[in-house]
Formats: sequence, C-alpha cells, structure tokens
Amino acid sequence: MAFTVNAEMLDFCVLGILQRQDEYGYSITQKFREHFDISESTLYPVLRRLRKADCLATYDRQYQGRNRRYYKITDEGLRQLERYRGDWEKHKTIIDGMTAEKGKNA
Amino acid sequence: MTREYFLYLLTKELMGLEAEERDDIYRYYLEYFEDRGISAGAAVPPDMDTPEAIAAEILRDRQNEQKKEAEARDGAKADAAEDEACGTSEKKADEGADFVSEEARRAYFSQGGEPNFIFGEAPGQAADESGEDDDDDDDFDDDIHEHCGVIDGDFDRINVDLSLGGFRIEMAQIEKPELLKPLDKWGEELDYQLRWKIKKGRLKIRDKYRSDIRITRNAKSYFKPATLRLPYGFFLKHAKLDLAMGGLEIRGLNCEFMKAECALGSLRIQDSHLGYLDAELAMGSLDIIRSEIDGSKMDVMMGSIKGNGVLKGKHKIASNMGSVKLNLDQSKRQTEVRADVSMGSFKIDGSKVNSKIYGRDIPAKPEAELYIQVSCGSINLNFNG
Repeated sequence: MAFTVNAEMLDFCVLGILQRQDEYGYSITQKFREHFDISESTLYPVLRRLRKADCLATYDRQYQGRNRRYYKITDEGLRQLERYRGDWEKHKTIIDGMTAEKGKNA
Repeated sequence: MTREYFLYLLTKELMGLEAEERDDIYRYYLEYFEDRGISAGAAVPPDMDTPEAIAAEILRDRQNEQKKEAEARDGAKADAAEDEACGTSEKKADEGADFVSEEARRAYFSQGGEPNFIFGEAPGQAADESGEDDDDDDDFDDDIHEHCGVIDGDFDRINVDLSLGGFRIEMAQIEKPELLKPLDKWGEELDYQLRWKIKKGRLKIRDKYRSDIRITRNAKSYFKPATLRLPYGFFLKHAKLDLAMGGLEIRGLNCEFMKAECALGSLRIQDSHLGYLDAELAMGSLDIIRSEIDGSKMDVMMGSIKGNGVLKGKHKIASNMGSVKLNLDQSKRQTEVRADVSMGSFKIDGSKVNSKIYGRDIPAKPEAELYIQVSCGSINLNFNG
C-alpha cells in the first residue's frame, strides 16, 4: 500500500481492536499483521501512549503458569475512539472529494 | 542471539529511562517472546527487529512526547525550537538518546543524594545500622526487591564487577572499608568495579541488568552453603565462581557462560539456563536441577554429578571418583556427551536420545553422540525412546 500508518491512526486502530475485546501485546500485534506489516517495535509506544492518556487500562491474568498482561479500553478510550471515528470520516470525505473520478460528484 | 541476551541488550539501551518504565518494556517483550513460543534460552528469530532498533523507537517516541509537552507549556518558544530542530531531526534523535543515557547513568549512581555512589549509607555506618535500613530506604522498595539477587553467607572477600548498575550489601560488618574502590570513571564499556572486604555479609544485587558478576569466597565459616537466588529473567553474560570452601546454590540464573571452581563443597544449579558451564570441583558434588545447559565441561575429582535438567549440545564429563547420573534432553535437540569415569558409576536416562557409544554404532542420528569411558564401576544406560 502506498500510504503509511501514522501515530494517530495506530492509536485509532488499537482502540478499535480493544473495543471488541481485551487483548494482550502479542495478540494485538498479530491482529495488525493481518492487514499491515508492522514490526515488534511499533506497538509498545502506542500502548504506552494510550495508557498514559487513560484510554486503556491493564490487568494481569494467569496463563500457563505466568502472568499475561491484558489491555482493556476505558470510558475515556471509548470517547477518544468516537472522536477518531468522526475525524476519520471527515478526513475520508475530504480525500474522496479531492480525488473523485472526473464527472462524479463526491 | 538468545532471548535473554536480546532482553539484556534492550534494557541496556534503555538505561536512560526510569526503572519502572524499563521493567515495563522488559516485561512486555518477555511476554511477547513467551507468546511467540520463544522460551528461555531459545534463539531470537532473525526477522525480529534488533534490540537497538526497538530501543531507538521507544526513545524517539519519548522524545516526541517531551517535545509536545514542552510545546504545550510554552507555545512560542517551542515553535522556534521546532523550526530549528527540523533540519536535523535525525541527528537530534541520536544525540537525545545519548543524552538520556548519560543522564540516567548519573541518576542511577547518585540515588539518595550521594554524589557518586548508590548506597544509602556511608561504608562506616553500615555496620552500626545493620538490619534497619531495609524499610526506610525508598530506593529499595518492594518492586525493586523483586529484582534483587540475594547472596546469603559469610564471605571474606567479594569482588563484584558490574557493567551497569550497582549492588547492595546488608547486615555487613566491614573490616576494611578502605578496600571499597569504586572506579569512578566511565570506560567505553561502562565498567564499574567495586571491591569490598566483608567478614559477614549479605549481598544484594540491585536489579537484573547486570552483565558481569564475580564472586570470590574465602570464608571462615565453611559449613553453610552460600545461596545466590536470582529473579526470573536475570541475565549474566559471564559468571566466574571461585569457591574455596563451602558450596553455592544458584537459582533462576540465565547465563551465557559460567566458570565454577570449587575446592570443597558442592554446587547446585536450579531452575537456571546456562549457555556453557565449565565446572571444576575437587570434592563435593554438582547438582543440576530443572535446568537447561547447552554445553559443558564438568570435572569432579571426588563426589558426584547429578543432573535432572535438560542437557543439550556437547558435554564433556570427567569424574575421578564418584558417580555421574544424568537425565538428557527429552527433545530432539542435538546432544553429545563424552564422559570419563575412573571409579564409580555412570547412569544416563533420556527418552528420545539417539546415541552413538564409543566404538560401536547404535542406529543413530549423526548429531547425537555419547562417549563413555569407565575404568572401575558400572555404567547404566536407559533409553526409553
């Protein structure tokens, strides 16, 4: 794909993933990798940023004799997700409008 | 590169961050490995980013964040700074990383207001206040406790070489505090050396980012074995143990290379992973419990070698008197054992080991080899595969 995913889009995507269910670090990376080629270094800063902004919370759960850290979206996270959705729609409309095929109205 | 070495390099790169943050990252990537099925001691797949790249990304993100915070504080000034920074942003990032590390180094070694030293009290006070400093020192809270190694026992002399970070001694009676010599210079390798003479003491290693520890023990009271207990994930690149008398028990150590010399007393390695073990014991036994050893040379003059962990790779075992009892790797990894037993018995168990015994071929995979020579005594081999 010709477009790169910037920091805000990563935040948006992680919130979108977590809104469906709680996930752990590796599973989020895997979910991304179904669509984008992201490396191991990408996700940690995103999770940290979102946690710092109170958009997500963490909890530990036992898994095969060790603790696994799960990430959970907060109310603030849901609100942020809504804001991103609105912004994304606007963004899409603008780009669509600018690039619509000749003769068609966006 | 093993998983442990990867994590070690990563945390080393991140010395510029707060300990909590570093622990968080360490934990994140440890879990990441676990979930990817890369267990302790296993190699990191080549498609992974390098630790340096991961650290750079984290530090860059941190810098952006700080920049944004600065902008929020002072809009006008920040704008000017940004204009200036634009052309050289790449270079700035590098400089920033260095700067942070340097900052952290200084912070790390000046905790508690001490100018160049990590200890909460001056060496002279330590003896008087022994036992009381555990609770009132907030540098050393419960969180950090988790990451502390503890050495219990009586020592005449301890040499500790630390590449990064420090250690802590509790309940210490120090005979000659002047022997404490911090080399207050940063070498290229960030070496930091401390020498401390202790009659009775307990040594705490502050956290898990150590890369080099050497213990010399010449104790007056030889009867109790010293214990070196380490937190999960503790990584040492190189460990040299020199035990004159008395034993040592090591738990939970990840080590690339260990050399152990023990004149009297036994060595017990439990729940650990060693890249290579070079052990020489004059009297006493060597016990390996629930541990993985990728290669070894074990020499025991008198006493026994017992292993119920996982041995893989090449092992050269010599026992002059005493017995050797080993449980080999249960997986299909490459294993080669060469054992030389003069007197005593030799026993090996391993369910899936395809082996070649010296001089005779048993239908075998070429990578697995067993070489045993026993002068006096018995051999007992049990392959259940």
